[in-house]
Amino acid sequence: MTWDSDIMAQSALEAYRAELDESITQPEQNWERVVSRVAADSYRPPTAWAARRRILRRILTIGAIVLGVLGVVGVVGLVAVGERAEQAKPAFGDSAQTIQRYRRSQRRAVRHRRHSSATPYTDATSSHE
Amino acid sequence: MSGKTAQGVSLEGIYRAHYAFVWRSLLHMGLIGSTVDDALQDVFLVVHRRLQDFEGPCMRSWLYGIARRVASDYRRGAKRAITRVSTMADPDVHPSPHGVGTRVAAASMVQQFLAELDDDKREVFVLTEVEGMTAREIADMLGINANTVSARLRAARLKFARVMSREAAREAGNRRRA
Repeated sequence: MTWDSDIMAQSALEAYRAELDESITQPEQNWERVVSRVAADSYRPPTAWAARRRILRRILTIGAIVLGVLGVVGVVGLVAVGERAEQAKPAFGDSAQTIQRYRRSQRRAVRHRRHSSATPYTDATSSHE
Repeated sequence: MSGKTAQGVSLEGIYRAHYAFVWRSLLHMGLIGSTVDDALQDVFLVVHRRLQDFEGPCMRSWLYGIARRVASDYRRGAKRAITRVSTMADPDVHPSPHGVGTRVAAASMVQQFLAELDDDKREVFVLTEVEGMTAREIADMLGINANTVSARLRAARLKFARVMSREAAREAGNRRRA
């Protein structure tokens, strides 16, 4: 920067500062409005109890979500265990009811296998040729 | 109005001492017209609410932080795309420090320069050149590294010097012609 431009920069900045300060208006009017707005302000900083209530609500929400997830997992697990127990081969000394349940599940499995392996209908005469 | 800081400063005391600073800051943050008045009142409303919490050594930094958030809310809320710093009338003339009545023109040249500057560089330039703050103070206030502040300031000053050199050359040419 040359001496000329340096002087110019300084004076331009001074002019800017002066113009900026002159553009500031109505400090008194603004103060009056601040006072009236402060008087009408219904804001209250949160008390310790409000903060505690908020934390408690958050804990309860998280707890409910965790319990819900655990419940779903538990039900699915119990169903799976029940199915596996039905299909387990009864041991010596098991009750008649357990043996009956095992046989029923075996029949169900056979029916299921037969149904799933059934071949589609084909024309017998055409296959001979 | 019983709110006071830990140091015993009242809201009115803060208002009287820092009114101009907050006003200028809001202008430099891109607010215009009556929005500045509203935002300024909001700033001091927030100051009233949080006066008890103020513990920091620098009131200006604290106020600037509040003003920044309030200005940001205003810009977002009103969906105004204010990208230019618009503080004064904008006469389209080239300034001369020797001429009479050229203060407005010189000021508008600075204003135009600021409008073309990046937001982060403008912030640092204004805080240094207009508010007279040090790089350390600005760094603490904006939560950035002091070296970053210095780098931004250096870049802004370089650009300002280029603009001024161009204007000085233009001025010298005009004088020779006259």
